[in-house]
Amino acid sequence: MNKPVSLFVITCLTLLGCASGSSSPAPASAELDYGDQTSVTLQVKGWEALAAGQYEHAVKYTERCAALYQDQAKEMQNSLTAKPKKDDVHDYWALNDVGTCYYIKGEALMKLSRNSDAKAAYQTVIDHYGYSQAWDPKGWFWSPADAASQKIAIIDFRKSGDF
Amino acid sequence: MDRNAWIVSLFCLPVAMMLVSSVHVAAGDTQATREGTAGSRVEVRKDESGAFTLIRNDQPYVVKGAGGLKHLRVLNESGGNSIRTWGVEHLEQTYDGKPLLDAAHELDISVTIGLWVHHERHGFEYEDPASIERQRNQIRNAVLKYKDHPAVLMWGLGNEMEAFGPRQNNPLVWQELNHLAGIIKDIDPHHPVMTVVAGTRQETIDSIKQHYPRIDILGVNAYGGATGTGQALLDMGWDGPYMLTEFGTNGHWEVAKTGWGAPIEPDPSSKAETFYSVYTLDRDNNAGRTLGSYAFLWGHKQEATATWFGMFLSSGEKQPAVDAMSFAWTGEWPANRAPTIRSLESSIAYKTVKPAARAHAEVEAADREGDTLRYVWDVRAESSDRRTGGDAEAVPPSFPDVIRSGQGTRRVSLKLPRRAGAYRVFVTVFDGKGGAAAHNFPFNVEK
Repeated sequence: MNKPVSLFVITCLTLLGCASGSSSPAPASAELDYGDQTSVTLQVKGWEALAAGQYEHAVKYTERCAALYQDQAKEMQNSLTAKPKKDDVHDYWALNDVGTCYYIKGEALMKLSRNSDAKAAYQTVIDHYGYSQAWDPKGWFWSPADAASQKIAIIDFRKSGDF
Repeated sequence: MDRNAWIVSLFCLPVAMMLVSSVHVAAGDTQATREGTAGSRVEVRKDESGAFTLIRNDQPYVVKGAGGLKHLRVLNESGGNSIRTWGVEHLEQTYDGKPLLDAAHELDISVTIGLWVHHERHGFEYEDPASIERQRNQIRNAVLKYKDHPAVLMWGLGNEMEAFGPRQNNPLVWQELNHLAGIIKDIDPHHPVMTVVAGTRQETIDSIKQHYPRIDILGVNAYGGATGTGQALLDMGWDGPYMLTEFGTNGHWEVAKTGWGAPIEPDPSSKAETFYSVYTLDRDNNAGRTLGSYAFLWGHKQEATATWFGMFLSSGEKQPAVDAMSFAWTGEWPANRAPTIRSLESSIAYKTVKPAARAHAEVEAADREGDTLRYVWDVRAESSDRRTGGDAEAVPPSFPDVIRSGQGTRRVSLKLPRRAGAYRVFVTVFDGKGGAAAHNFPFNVEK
């Protein structure tokens, strides 16, 4: 069905990453506007492209986010032994944005029927950014890693069930 | 009297006495406590590694369950082994002409008996001694009545009574639950006590640990975040056994909404995927902590829409979610699968449109067995009787005149209502063999 806006875009245009990184970004690609290239900008652009059905663009935005911020994100992940509590979540902006970007990438690749690539993206969230969190404007944080696990299960289920 | 007659008499006399006794008890108590009937013995065991196992009649027992009172035969055929109820009044219902517990037992289905614990949001006052005593007597009588039935798996003491009220996590509620659990255990030491809460919240876990030490199993109703329940409980400090006591389609409070606030219902295939993925992830990621789960809802109900949570239609047909749970429980698909809806398209879907405008709606559906499909369309007002916590809602009115032609086919012509307001177009696809799939889209008529 042609839903007007993707569920996750509505629910997940995250407010995380407001204190996003200030490292000097690489020049933007000619064909896409990467904006100020902060992690939150790239993440929001990823969601927006996904909602608009521009799946290749969503992949590019999220890959740019990962390329620029994955080192910081992994550093934050490695400093943790559990998901940060509510009051501390925003301190882990790179982790949150990169984890969410890999999740968005998985979503876009699923839409492109590239299921094995989608699984790889989802698995990256689980393996490297398991403590990332995303804010749902309805009032709660959600876990990109938990959502990614579910999407992998769904991909396998589709194979077995012809849904 | 010859020898054989004596032998018959010797055997029959005690049996006849037992029967008389049973009849005497059953006369006022149709299905529950009957002398001579061996009740089940259920316990939660913790091994040296700290892993929990539910033991039923000396055998490990993993709950493959569903919440609901109907379609027990389909549950059994699908590989399910347990149902969950919410209040003892449900046990007065019959299935195939038999009392519910008897019918379940015959199908090798166990029952987590819900003992309704009153909610403050419904006006119950936990400061009122008379109300407290009345509730204790209700619980005591229910346990006495049903404890010896062999279908009993455990007691479901309360459902989401900590949530949605004016004072969430009121300590008095938890303390009373602890008292009620003590009453139950005194009467019936052979079945665990589970209490069901709404989602995973730190303050809930803290309250239970502080005020409710008699709890045996924590039940959690979870939808959108259900796959993370096991880990979330650990993170919050609950390392005891738990069960997902409601899971399934993401809640109408969790999904995207239209501009006029109508929640967008997932399609039936997406729902099936959610049921399967939540069940398998919870099972696989939480071995030794989860004792099983109950899918919601093995039946139907009006909540936001008539089809949001129900795995069956009100007319009895199963939807794809039932097949998904069958595959999850058994590893095999049922012989006849419910049809699937591949798309539902309309120029008015999710839009605000002019009064009395004309439009079309079209569905594309498929059936794996090639069954001939029948299509039923319905246009209803958006539900305005929205409640919290799953409380009963009124079914909104239908507007059959909106469908001008094509009823029964996969494409209909519509003349939209003149009256401004929010509506939904529903389509249900039937395979004629007990399977169906239902989907809908909202639209809004402008003033």
